[in-house]
Order: sequence, then structure tokens, then C-alpha cells
Amino acid sequence: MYASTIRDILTKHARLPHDVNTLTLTDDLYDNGLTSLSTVNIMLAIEDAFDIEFPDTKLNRKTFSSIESLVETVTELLNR
Amino acid sequence: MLTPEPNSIPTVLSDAIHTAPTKTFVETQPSSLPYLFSPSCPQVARQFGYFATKSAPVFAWQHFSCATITRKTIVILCYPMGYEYTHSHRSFQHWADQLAAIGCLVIRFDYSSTGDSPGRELPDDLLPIWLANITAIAEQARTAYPEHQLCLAGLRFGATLAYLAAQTLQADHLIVWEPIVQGRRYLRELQALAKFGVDSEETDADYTEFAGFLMSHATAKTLKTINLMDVPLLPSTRVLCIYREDGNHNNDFTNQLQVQGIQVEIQCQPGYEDMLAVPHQTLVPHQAIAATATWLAQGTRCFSESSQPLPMLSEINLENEIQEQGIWYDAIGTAATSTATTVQNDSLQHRLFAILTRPKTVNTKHPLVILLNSGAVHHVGPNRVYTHVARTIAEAGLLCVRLDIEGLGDSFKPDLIRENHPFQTTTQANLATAMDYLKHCRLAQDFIVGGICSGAHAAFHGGLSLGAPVIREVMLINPLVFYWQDGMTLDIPGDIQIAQDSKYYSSSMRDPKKWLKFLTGKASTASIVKFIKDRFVERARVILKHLRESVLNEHSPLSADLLRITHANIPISLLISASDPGLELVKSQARRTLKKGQSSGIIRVKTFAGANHTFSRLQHRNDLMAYMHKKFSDEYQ
Repeated sequence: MYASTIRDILTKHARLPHDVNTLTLTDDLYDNGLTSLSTVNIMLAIEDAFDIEFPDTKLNRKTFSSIESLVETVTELLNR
Repeated sequence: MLTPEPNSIPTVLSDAIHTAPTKTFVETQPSSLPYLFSPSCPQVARQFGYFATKSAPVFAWQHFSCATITRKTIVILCYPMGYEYTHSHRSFQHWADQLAAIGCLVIRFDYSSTGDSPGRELPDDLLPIWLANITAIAEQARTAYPEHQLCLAGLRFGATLAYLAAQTLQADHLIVWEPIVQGRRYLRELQALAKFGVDSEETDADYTEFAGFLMSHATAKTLKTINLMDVPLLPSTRVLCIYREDGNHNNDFTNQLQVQGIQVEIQCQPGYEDMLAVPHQTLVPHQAIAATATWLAQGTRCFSESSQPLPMLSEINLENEIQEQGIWYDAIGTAATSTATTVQNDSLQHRLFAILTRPKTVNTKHPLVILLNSGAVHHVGPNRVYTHVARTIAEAGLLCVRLDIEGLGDSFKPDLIRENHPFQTTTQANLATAMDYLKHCRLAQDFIVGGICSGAHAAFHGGLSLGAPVIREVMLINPLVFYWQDGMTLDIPGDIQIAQDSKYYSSSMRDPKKWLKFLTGKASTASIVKFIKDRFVERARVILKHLRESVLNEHSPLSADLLRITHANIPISLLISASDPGLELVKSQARRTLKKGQSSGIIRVKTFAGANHTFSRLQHRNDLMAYMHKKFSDEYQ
């Protein structure tokens, strides 16, 4: 449900060498060129877009490793 | 020690050779320092030096117009911190030039314990020191020009510091570009960055490392307490807030300013993300910079007088009796005594800048170490590594110069299109110019050239083109490319990617979590298959090369060039981080030459366990410094 917004955010902030729309939900974003600096921008953009705050436990590479993982985390935080 | 020719050598250098090294800071009038004219604003001159502050001097640049125009306004630009400082360095040069072009005297400087300024990042609380730096410079400016107005301007955390200083200094103008309003939120951003690092690990150290930069817990504690919403400004301060065009900014901060009766203008400008991209991809946000100049011009008056820079120190003493100073390394034969009023566009047009670090006693029989730009990062190097390396080498008794090649850092290139490209076509010519200058100053007769990544590429080719006896040693730290050609990608080249992938997959083979990911179908099978195919082809190519090298005595270009350097009796030091593919690269192209060179001792290989390409962790930087100190102390004392 949130994948589309997350793809938009990735397109804007991830600075990946490929088109984000060609990535599957489970593709590893770090394997596809995501850097730690861009991850911070994505984190901030997702927080602003969904009005959420990632707790410390979610601030790790695993959370940001794929679109699927981001959707799961956003869903979890919105349902709290 | 040799005697220099007094008329051709900058005073500060000849002083250094002739006088005791324990003297206090040398106060030099601006008239004795040469200038650089901006490539984008030909009437704007730049001058480097150090401003005395309460804690220690700070390295600074002044930008001023040589045309008869002044706005009687001094602008102090405040850098952001951490990686944002390194990435925005280039844009700050352009920003300073543009504000100088409208008639302001503009100062940009490295806060204490950052960049080229003295000091270590740990363990002090640096925030009060950084605010004191700004205050000290502003007070010197006001003493010299009591009738001038003061403008503070900053980006990100620099904007926060500018805001805080504007309150106490009662600044007339304030430009805040994407300011950090709440320290707590920014700290969380930095902590997230630390956790997102590929080698992130939990430690109980009293500091945090984020993207190669250090923050003590004392600094973090103070940072956490900052909330600009709680800090009122004087209503007389004009404020310009710049936000990124593509971001959602919070109006609370600007609303709060307006409630205080402050004249605040809000502008959304493009170019923010490109300004903070990785150094070789940064783009200068010209539109946003022009907007700041227009805004400042609207709030100030223009007078028909020329600007004069503030007096600065030309050199400083550091710990362990080492000294440091900026130099124009293309300054051979130019008089160093022209005054600002006599400066013409056709004289003293120095373009090539470097920083010289000098030990307590200079022995001109020792080689001088030259560090060449790493990527498109200015002479401080990635994560300030070069600053530490230079000072460590000086502590070990050798002179060290960290160069900015034309188009990089604070050296400029008339051709702005190629500005900031890590592989400049003029690198070898610039290196030769630097050596001529340093020889002319009688500081050294021969040199050790080294650098990280593209700096290693430049050093390797310096060894080849300049050769013995001028090159005493080549020091290659984490080379990734040995033969750069125009048109090649600045991303990781294919064969290196395979070497890096090999390291990744061989470590994954030992990681149960990766096996679980693979067995549950969550791993990217396509990537693994592609890697196996590429690896197979690469291995076959390497085996063929080895066969040719051993059976037919046929050498790859790298093998032949390593032999050319070592046959000239120039030792090669290969300093390689364990996770970096540099050694694999040499092995794949010149295994036999490497092996023979190691046996004879002319090629030395040192591997740094756990370190990454840019030595981004403190522990690994300390390992590198310890190695450098021992190497140079043992070999030259």
C-alpha cells in the first residue's frame, strides 16, 4: 500500500544508478548502490511523508535494505 | 642547511629555514601575502592565513573585491560539520566569491579541530570552541573596520552556529541555509548515519563515528540542548532563510522569528542535494548563491572604495613543535611584497595551493613527502586523514606538503567545466611545479609522493614520469585504478568490482545469516550467478596473464611500469586496507613482479586489518598514523 510513496522517495533521494521502478520489492537496495548518506535522506523523507519517527531499534541497514522491508516497517509504525 | 635566495622566497619560508622553530605565531601583514584571483569572478581575490582565536588559530580564507567597490560589510561564512563540510567545500568557495564580487569582505574558515585548523576532534566539547572561533573573527573584523556591518551566514549546522553567534554578536544580517533548528533531531540524524555505515558496530567509546567523522559525547551532549526556537534574535537583525526546493520545511522556526518582529525572508532554492553529493559529483548551487548575494545587496549600500583584507597570521605552531602554513606552489619568481592596492589581474595570479607542515628541525637531506588529492576531496583528505598524516610525518622529522591539484580543493582551474574532477590532466605538471617550487625554496631536493585512491594513481605516475633521483619513494595507499583514461567511469571499475565482490562473497560464505538468507530465497540469485560468471572469466584472464608473465616473460603494463620504477631504485610502498581490492589488483596484473619486488624489499606491502578504503574509522586511522610515524622515524632518524 505504501510501496508507491516509498518508490517516489527512493527516486528522489536514493541516487541509485538504476531506475527505482525496475527494482523488485525484495531487491537489496545496498547491492543496488544505496549509500549510508542517502539512507539518512530517505529516513528523513519517509518520516516527513508518513509523519512517523523510526525508533532506534529500526535505525539499521536491515530496515532500509529493501522496499518490502521499508513497507513493513512503515506499516508497523503507522499501526502502533 | 642551504641558504635560500632572499628575493625569490616568501619571507615565511626563509624565516622558517633561518630562525629557531620555537618562535610564537608570526604576524604577517596582508600586504606580504600573494593573492589568487577567482576563476569565476576575475575581480575577486582570495588570500589564506590564520586568525588567532582564544583556543588556537584557525585556518581561513578571505575573499575580497579588487575593484573600487565596497559595501562596508564583513561576511563570515560558517561551514557545516562532518561530511557536509567536505562535500560543500567547493560551493563555499563560489559562495564566498559571489558575495565578495558585490563588495563584501568574506571570510570562510575551518573551526578548531576541523579541516586545516589545529586540534583534535576528541575529547572536548567543541561547540563552545566553534562559537568562540566565530566571535573572535568577528571581533577582529569589528576592530579593524568599526563602521562595517556584520553578516553571518551558514549551511546546516553552520547556519545554527551562525544564528547562535548572531545573537551574541548582534549581527546586522544573517543567512541561514537549511538550519538545524533542534540539536536533538540533528544528533539523531548523525547517529542514524553511524548505524547505516557498512562497518557499523556498537562500542562503549566516549565518542560517535559517523561517515568517518568523530563527535565526542561531550559535544553530543551540548548539541542535544540546542533549540533555536528558544534563542531570540535582536529585531534589528535581517534574516534570510533558504530551504531546499524539494524539501518540506517546517514553518515553526520562521514563524517564531516573525513573531519576534524580525524582518525575515524565506526562499526555497534548488541545488541543495547536489551541493552535498559525494565530492566528485557536487554541483555548485549558483542560483541559490546568487539569491543570497541579491538579498545582501538589497540590505547594504555600495561605496566607491576598495576592500582590504584583515591581517592574518601566515604560519602557526602546532603540538610537538611542528609548524604549518599555506603556500602558493606556483609562486616561483613572483615578488611577495605587492600590496592589495597594486594588485593587478595580470600579476600574482597564483592558482596552485598547498599546505606545508614542518618539523621542529628541517633537514634538507631528507626527502619531502607530498600528498596528492584523494578523489575530489580538498587537501585535508577523506575524513581529515591527510591533515593527521602530514602532522604525523612532521612529528617523525620530515617535511610534508598536501597539495591541491589544479581544479581541486583550493587550487583552481581556468576551465571550470573540469573543476572537481579527481583525475585532472594537469596532475603531473602540477606535481613537477610543486617540486620545482620546493626545491627553489631549498626545502628539499627529493621527494616521496603518495596518496589515497586517485592520489595513489597520481603518485604512481609521478614515480614513472619524474623518476629518480627526484623521486625517492612512491607510497600508494588503496589504489583502485592504475591507468585512468578520459571516458572511464568514476564509479568502481569492473575488474575492481569483481575483486570487491570476491571479498564480499568470501566473507559471506562464513556468515550463517547470509546462508539463511540464501537458503530462504531472499538473496539475489541473479547477482550471485552474475558474480560467478564474471569471476570465472576474470580468473581465466588472470591465469593467462600469469602464464605469459612466467613462461614468455611477457609483462602487463602494470608489471612493466612497476619494474620501471623499481629498476630506477625507487621503493614502492603499497599500503592497503584489508577490505580494499588494491593488492588483489596488483596480484592479478603483476603477481611475479610483486613477488620479486617483495623478496628484494623494493616493494613493501602493508595491510591494515579491518580498515576500509578511506580509513573512515578512528582505530584504523590511528593504525595508519602509527605505521607512518614508525616508518619515517625508523628510516630517517
